[in-house]
Amino acid sequence: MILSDLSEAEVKRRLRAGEMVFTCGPFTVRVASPVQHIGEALHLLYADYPLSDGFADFRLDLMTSGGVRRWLRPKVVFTADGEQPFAPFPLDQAYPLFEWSLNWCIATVTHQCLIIHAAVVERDGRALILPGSPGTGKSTLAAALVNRGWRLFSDELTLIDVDTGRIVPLPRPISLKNASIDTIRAFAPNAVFGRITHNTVKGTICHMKPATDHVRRAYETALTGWVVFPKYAAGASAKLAPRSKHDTVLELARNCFNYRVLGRIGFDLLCDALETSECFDFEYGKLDDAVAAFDRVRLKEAA
Amino acid sequence: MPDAIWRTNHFCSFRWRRWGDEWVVFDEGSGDTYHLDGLSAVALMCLAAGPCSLAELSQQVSIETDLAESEELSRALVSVIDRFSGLDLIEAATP
Repeated sequence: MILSDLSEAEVKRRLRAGEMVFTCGPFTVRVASPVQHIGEALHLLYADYPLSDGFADFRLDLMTSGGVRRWLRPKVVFTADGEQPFAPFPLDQAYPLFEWSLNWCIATVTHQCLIIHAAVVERDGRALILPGSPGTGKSTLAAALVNRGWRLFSDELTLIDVDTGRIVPLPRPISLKNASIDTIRAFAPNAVFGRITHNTVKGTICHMKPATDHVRRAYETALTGWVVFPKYAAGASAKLAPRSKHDTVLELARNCFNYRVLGRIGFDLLCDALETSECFDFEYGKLDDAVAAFDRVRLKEAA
Repeated sequence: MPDAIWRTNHFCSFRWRRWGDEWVVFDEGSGDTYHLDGLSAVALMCLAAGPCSLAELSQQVSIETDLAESEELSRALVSVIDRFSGLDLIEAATP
C-alpha cells in the first residue's frame, strides 16, 4: 500500500493521531502533526512512498505552539525523541521544516552509512555525486538531470553503505530555492511541485515531487561513478575540469556529517568510492548544456 | 632541532591511500585527514616506524626514495618536521 492509496483527509487524520508511517529509502519514518499543509504536502509529494505500520527509525513531531502566540504569530515546533534542535518556525513554513527535520534525523543518528552533504543521481548503475555548499546549484542540477534520464537518489544527502560501499538511494522531494524554482518549472513543465513558501531562512522554497519510478526503485543501489563539484555562473558555458582525488577526499570529508564518528571506516569508504570514480570541477550557466556535458562524460566512459 | 629525536605522537595511528605521487593519510587518533606529497608521506612513514633524528630520517628517506642525502633534502625535511609538529602528528622524544 502506498501513500496515494489514502485520501488526503486520511493522511491528515493519521498525522494528527501520530499514525502516519511510511518508508523512505532505507528508513521508516513516523510523523505526527496537526498542521494541515504538512498533510497536503505529504499527500502530493510523497504519494508513491510505501506505507508501513512497523517500527520507525525516526519519529518527527511537528506541533503548533500553544498559548496566546498561536493566535498572534502561529509557530510550529519540531521535536524528535524529546529533543528540540531548532527554534520554532512560522506555521506556513511547516512543510520545509518537516524536510529539514527529516534531514536532521538522518544526519544525526544514522551511522550504518557514511553521509555526505551532496546531491546524487544515477544512470546505468553509476552514481554521480554533486557536493557543494548552498548556492552552488547542486539541487538545481539534480532536478534537471532527473528530468533528463538520470535517477534521483537524493538532492541533499549521499549515503554510502558501510557494509557494501555502494550508494544507497534516498529519493525525496527536491528542495528548490529562489530563482531555481522558475528555472526548473520552465525546464521540466510536467514535473509536479508543492506549494511555494516565502521568507524561510533559505529564501523562497518549493519542492519538486520525485518520479514514481525513482521511488519504486529506492532499493537499487549504485557504485560511485563521478564526483563533480558544481558551480553555477550566469552565462558561463559548461566546463568540466579534472580534479585530483586527494583534494576530492579532503573536500568530501569536510562535507560529511559522520566522517569522524566512523573514523577509519569513513576514510576507507571515501577512498574506495574514489577508486571507481572520475572527479571534476564543473562550471555551468545553462541546464541544457550541463545535462549534455554529463551525458558526454557518461557515454565516453561507456565507450 | 638538529639533535632532537622525533617520533609520531603516541595517539596517532595512520591509514594511507595513494594516487600517483600524492598521498592522503587519515589519523585515527584525531580523526583528521591530510594531503601529503611523496616526500612528506615517506618521512611520516619512517617516523611511524620508529623514533629518529633529522640525520637518521634523512638517511632513511634517501634509502626509500631516489633522493640523495644532501643539504637540500635536510632543509626540506626540517620543513616537513615543522609541519608535522605543528599538526601534533609528531613530537620530540624526551630522553
